[in-house]
Amino acid sequence: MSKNYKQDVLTGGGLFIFSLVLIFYLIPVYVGGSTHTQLSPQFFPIVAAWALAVLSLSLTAISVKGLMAQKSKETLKTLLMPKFTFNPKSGPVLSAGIICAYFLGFEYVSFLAATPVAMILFMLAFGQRSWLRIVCISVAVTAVIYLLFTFGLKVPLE
Amino acid sequence: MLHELLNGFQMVLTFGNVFGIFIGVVFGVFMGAVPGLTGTMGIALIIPLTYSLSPITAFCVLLGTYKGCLFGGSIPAILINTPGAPAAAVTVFDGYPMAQKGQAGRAMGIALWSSVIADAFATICLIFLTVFLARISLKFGPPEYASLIVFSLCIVAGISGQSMLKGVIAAVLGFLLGTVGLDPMVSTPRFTFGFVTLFNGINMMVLMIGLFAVSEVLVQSDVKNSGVRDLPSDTSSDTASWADIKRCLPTIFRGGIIGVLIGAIPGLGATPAAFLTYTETKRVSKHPEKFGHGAIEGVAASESGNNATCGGALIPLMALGIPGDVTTAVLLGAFLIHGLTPGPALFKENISLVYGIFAALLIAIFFLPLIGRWFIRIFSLISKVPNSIIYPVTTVLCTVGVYGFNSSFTDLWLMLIFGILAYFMRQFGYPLAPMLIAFILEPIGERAIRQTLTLSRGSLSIFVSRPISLTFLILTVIAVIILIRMKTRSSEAKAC
Repeated sequence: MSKNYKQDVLTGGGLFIFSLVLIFYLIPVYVGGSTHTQLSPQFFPIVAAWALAVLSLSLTAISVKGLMAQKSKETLKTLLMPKFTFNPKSGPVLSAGIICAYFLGFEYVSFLAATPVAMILFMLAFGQRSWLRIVCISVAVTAVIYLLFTFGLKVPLE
Repeated sequence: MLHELLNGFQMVLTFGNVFGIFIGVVFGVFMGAVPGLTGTMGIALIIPLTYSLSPITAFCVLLGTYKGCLFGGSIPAILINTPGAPAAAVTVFDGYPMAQKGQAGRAMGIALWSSVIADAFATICLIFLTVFLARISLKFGPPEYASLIVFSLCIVAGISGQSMLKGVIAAVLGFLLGTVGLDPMVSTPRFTFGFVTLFNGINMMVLMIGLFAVSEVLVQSDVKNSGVRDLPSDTSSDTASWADIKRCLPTIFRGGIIGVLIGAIPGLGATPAAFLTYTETKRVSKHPEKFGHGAIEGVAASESGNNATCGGALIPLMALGIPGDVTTAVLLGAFLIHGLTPGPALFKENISLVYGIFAALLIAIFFLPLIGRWFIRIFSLISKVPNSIIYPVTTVLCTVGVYGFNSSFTDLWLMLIFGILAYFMRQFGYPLAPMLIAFILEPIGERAIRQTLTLSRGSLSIFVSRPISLTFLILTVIAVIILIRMKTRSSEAKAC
């Protein structure tokens, strides 16, 4: 439970900061104002940003209260010094990295070259170890999708 | 109505459309039957393939998928104790114990027929109730729409999962994303950051695939399960008999009624319908002690409840343009992508298409038993496809699907950003459905509110001076009070 409170404090705090950035920087700079209509284009973004500020602050307050109720020094200590770990070999980080590389390959090389490579990397990342299966599936899937989109649906992939 | 329905059948009964329904049901059952792949994700994935199809053919495929996936989730729930879709979670309670007793085929048979009968009941309700609701909704103007959107946004809190606060935060984030693009009244850029591709707002397809498919890939990449799943070797030797179906008929109709009612309330969806039907069936049963240990009525209750929501959830979608659950929210996106606006306008301008959709839904009911039985037999082979193949293929399909829509690489990067955002939201317990629903409703609501205030020269009294608008505002207040009371009671029960 303490872990959830800690997460909620962090996400609530983060969202509160984001809402302040919205209110004081992003909306004034990136949303134009207008007096020609009953409501300005800024009205709904501002309402949403203030709602986000209030809700995130509430979440943070409730979570801090929950943490304090536990009266655990260890928990408070870990809250004050949260440990952030970044493991590039962890599944989601690796997968997101492969997706980034795939998009770059798709954009700057070609779909036909990038897709089989990305499929191979993905299958390895997901734990597939049979090379025959990896190569056959990546080539077959690339070919089927390319033919389906390019010739069947007339959507060019290059 | 009968004449229009016959015209609908005439429209749908072409080889292309019937084949579209068939393919949709096959794909839907497959998506439902593979744990981790959901119907929502399936519909999101198949939408790009319908770009070049006519609207009616596209909806034959999409609605077939929707129906198929609701049943498909029961297959792994019974065979491997893993619901293929969230709505099939209740099927596990009695389905898996039946499989352990060597009655997997019987359990899957009753799941199939419960789905088919409840689905038929729900579709008939849809046909009669939608037209009635749509006639009322033809009286809607901007103030009524604005109040309806406010009502729907409040209901979003009901699908917030464990924390209403987090659900509302997710909805606010979705609402903010909905404001991106040119202002609907004066065309002032909002949060476009100089990207011309954002002038039309964030592409709904990009958001949907990012939220549901990409985040699922990231979540599953933590599991790294390339192993082959263990399954019972033979499930074809035992089947559900007519006596079993007859015994479960009261349960199935109970599930049908509950499913339609729950499905028709925006924001609830199939999972609560299945839970409610199960608990209600257990409550009225003469042998409640058998539930959870392989009671055939338990499987029938869960499957009839969750399948009946298909027809139910389509009622507010088609009549009012309000999605009943997250899957119909994705379907709403499909309507908009094909240039159609669900709601009164659809009934005014495309009545033949509406009845064509009804006809397609009725035809899909006939495909479900055929394909369902076939899938039950071959599922042992499909389920052996490891995650290490399914998710890489899914990622590539998501990529080409999103790219194919606008041929835009910006959309691909946005999809990845939304996927990562959704991954963290899931990790931190923020529900995704309210975010998507708020994103979809924001432009409609904003336009309606601003048009209303222009009409009334800024006076808010217009919202309470019109009866339908006032009704929705009163319903909003009632809904908020009920939701807060429900959540408070639930918290108190947990504390005890």
